[in-house]
Amino acid sequence: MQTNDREVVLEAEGLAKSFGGNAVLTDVNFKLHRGEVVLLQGANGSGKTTLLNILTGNLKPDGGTMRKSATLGRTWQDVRLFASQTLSDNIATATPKQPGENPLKALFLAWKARREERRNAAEVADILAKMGLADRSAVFGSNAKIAEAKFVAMVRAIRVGAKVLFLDEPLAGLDHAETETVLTTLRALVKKYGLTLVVIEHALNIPKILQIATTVWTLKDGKLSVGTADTADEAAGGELRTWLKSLAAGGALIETGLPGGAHLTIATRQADAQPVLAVTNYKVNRGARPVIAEPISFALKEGDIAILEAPNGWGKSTLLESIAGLVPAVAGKVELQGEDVTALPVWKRARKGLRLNRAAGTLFTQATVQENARLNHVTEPILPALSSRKAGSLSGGESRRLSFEAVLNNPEAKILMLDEPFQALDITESARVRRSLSNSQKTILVTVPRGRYI
Amino acid sequence: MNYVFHLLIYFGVYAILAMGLNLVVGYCGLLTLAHAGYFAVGAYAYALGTLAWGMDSISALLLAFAAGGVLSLLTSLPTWRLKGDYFVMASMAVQVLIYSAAYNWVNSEAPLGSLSNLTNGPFGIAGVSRPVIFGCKLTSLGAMAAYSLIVAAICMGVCHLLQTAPWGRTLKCMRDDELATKNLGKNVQLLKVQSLSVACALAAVAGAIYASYTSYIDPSLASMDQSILLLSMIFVGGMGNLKGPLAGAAILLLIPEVLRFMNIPDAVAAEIRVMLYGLMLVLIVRFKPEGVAGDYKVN
Repeated sequence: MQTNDREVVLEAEGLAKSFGGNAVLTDVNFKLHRGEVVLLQGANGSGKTTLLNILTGNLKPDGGTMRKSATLGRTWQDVRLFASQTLSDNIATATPKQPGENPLKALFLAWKARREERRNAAEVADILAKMGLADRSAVFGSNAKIAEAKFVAMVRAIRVGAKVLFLDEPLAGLDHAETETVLTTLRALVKKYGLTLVVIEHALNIPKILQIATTVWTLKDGKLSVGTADTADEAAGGELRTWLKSLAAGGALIETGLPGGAHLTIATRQADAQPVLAVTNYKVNRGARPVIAEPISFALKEGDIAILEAPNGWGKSTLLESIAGLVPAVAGKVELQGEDVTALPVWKRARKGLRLNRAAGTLFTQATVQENARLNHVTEPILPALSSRKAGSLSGGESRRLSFEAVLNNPEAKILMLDEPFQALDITESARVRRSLSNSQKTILVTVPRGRYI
Repeated sequence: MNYVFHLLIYFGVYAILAMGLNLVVGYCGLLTLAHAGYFAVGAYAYALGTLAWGMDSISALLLAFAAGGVLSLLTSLPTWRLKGDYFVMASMAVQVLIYSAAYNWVNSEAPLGSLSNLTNGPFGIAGVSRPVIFGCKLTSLGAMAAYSLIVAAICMGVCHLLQTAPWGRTLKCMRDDELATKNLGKNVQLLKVQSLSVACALAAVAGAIYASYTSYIDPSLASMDQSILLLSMIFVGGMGNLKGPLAGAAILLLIPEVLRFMNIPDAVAAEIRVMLYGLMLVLIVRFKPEGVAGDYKVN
């Protein structure tokens, strides 16, 4: 391979890691060359994030050695921007060796520290302008859109001086246009700046990453195998639509266009079913900021499965949270089985069977897997091999599965709202989720980013 | 007029304390209950320096500053391993340690300031003299108020320079996400040590001013009540900037003074004051979690 002639920037031999007797990595060996773009793949729970944490110094391996000849940087699956800092400051903070970071210099060489800070700020402004984010530089990390946050996280890691960049699901949650922009940026990072990339992505995004990948690392049974792009697991696109059609009584889907480029597709499974969830002329704000500014209306009947596809920033999560009662509506109403519940608090709506499964933060992290299941009144074992593990120690994929299975099998839940349940799932898991949804008789509303599945 | 001077002296003292505490709680996100302990450390260091060890006022003030800064390691080293509730418990232990030392480090047969009688225990230390600055003894309340406010202004300048420098920004980043900050190559352990040493040194300076004004100190300076009062100041005033602690110090200082003009008996007024503090905290947390003038929303 051409890349093998290049300088080795990172090398590992015999890396091993176990959690509570459960061996996640047993013998990981590799050589990473300058300019390589590696796709790191593996099933949910195979140890991808664990390996990333070890390589970036956030976790100590139980055994093995590592050698590096370049600075390493990383981005996170959950982005981790500094919430109280502006996008500009998120990048400026990353600049190494700032005189003003030393309190003595900040006090006694204040003029020098301020001069360097002005220079740093000007460089950051230039970077943001090149990224097309000049007018967003004063936005706080907590208010950044997902694509902006992912860009800033990448720039932040590079600003530290990283020559090897580990990217944990850089395309997750992005719509089609945003994905293309990120891919273009990644190409530029490799070609213009000679960066080396190691990218973790879930199955549905693997074809996109393969456009730029030179090498594929596959983690299986605790070992890493190195291959080419031909060995990657690719997922077929458009499968959700096919699946949804197969569920609909008579094979017909009800399709509704919503304001702002959103699209609602409903598969009605019982022709004579009664409406159970009706949202009418609904508008939502997040604080003072209008999120669903134009009124939307839709209704789901008992047993319906619906997919709400909308661009990022449209307000999919906010809409679900508002229907669940977490965010108050500005206008319109929500009806459950014909009863107006718009004024009811979240717990009363939950008691009526309306449940929300958010993309993250739905588990009790200090409780075990079994306790999380019981809290959802689920008696059947979920992830039986991990039943005594604390939920907070699960991998990203395992957490998603526990959270999903717990809410899906909760006997009190009649109407489920699932926020991006296919995110971060490999092919096998994605198919399993579809099977579980098909087998459930509940009314289900699922959100997905625009242009990714349908 | 003396009454106004008295208030200004106290405002200077509490403003310094609140500004220092803001660095730890508002900038680092570390809820410490030990701050009053460092206030007492400064007061005792100043009193012993001037009364027992023959130091002049400026040297004793610097001794207090250094003692606060060095002893801050008692609180900052646990932050390397402890977070959240566990750090709060550790800081409470430091507060109890300092209070116990002040209360029990006494031997009536040994001279004050000796190794066996460092604090004079529950009897406290009386007769702490007013500061002498460039040969001029600050005997009048006006001069003392000016001294307190000038030192507070210097501390404010120090805090301003630090908070607006990249150092302050990095502290806020650490507060938001310690792991991400570490991954940017920042030494978060050093940052915690630095911020706590600055905060504790400032608290000790406030203690020195207090001791020189009241001329009497005892272990109650290091009590938990004092720490909670200081925390109330920054919760009510707000954190994450310079205005919040100053506003909090002023508000909580003026509440008992308002009661003074309402002809309420002292014993009753004391109870009402505590109730008002509690009520204000509840209202602030419920309706304005960032405080009256703060940037950092408590959640």
